Amino acid sequence: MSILVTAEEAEFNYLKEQTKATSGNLSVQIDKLKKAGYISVEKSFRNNFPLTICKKTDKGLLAFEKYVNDLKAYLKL
Amino acid sequence: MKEQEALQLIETVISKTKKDLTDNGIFYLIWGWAVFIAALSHLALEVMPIAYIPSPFVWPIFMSTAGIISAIIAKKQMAKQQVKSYAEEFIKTMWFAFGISLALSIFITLWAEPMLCYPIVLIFYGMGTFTVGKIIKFKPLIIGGIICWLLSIASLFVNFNTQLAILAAGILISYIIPGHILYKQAK
Repeated sequence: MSILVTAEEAEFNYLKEQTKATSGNLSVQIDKLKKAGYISVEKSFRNNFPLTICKKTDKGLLAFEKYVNDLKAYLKL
Repeated sequence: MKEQEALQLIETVISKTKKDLTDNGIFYLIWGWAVFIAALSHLALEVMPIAYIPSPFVWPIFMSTAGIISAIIAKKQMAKQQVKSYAEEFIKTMWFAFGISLALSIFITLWAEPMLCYPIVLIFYGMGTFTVGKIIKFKPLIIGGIICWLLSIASLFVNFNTQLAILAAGILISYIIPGHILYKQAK
């Protein structure tokens, strides 16, 4: 979510490299975020290779901001 | 503490993503140097003409070379690009409109009033670099843009050859220097 909040969109491979997750793990996480309505997923093709692009949603941004604020508030205690 | 680590991880990832989204300045370098060298070559040929080479000839040569190199690099970059920023679409559209406007203004001024050509070109350089500088919050481009606007007025009061020198100075400050800074930062 940190990546998607900073950028407008990111490809699956980029997310995989940055999070150092396996394809399987990442797919599961992406699915969960999509079901929660936090991200949108667009599947297409580039040069005959499947391409998955993720974008955050407004709901996702709000949830992320709340999470970060909660973390900060907790640490101030 | 888990919460502290989580926050630090978020900060690290955000920094890394921002870095991956930054402009490496390559197009400012390509066009900056092309215009700089073309302007100075044109000036040199005006001052010391060479037989059979009309001085404005340098412009089509350098501009089409820069255009071809830019197209090749742009294609490569787009194929490799895995993450996009919000501003990107706007910036790309702006440069496209800039290119068309610049070409039209050059054509029109050369046809109607050639001494206005370079002052107006400088206005467009100012607009392009100032706008992008503001959007990506990069001061050298903002300053370069403002200086181009000032130079465009200054160029009204000088002769054609001096206008070429002013153009070279303008492009150095607004394209070449910011381009080099961006390039260095991207490494």
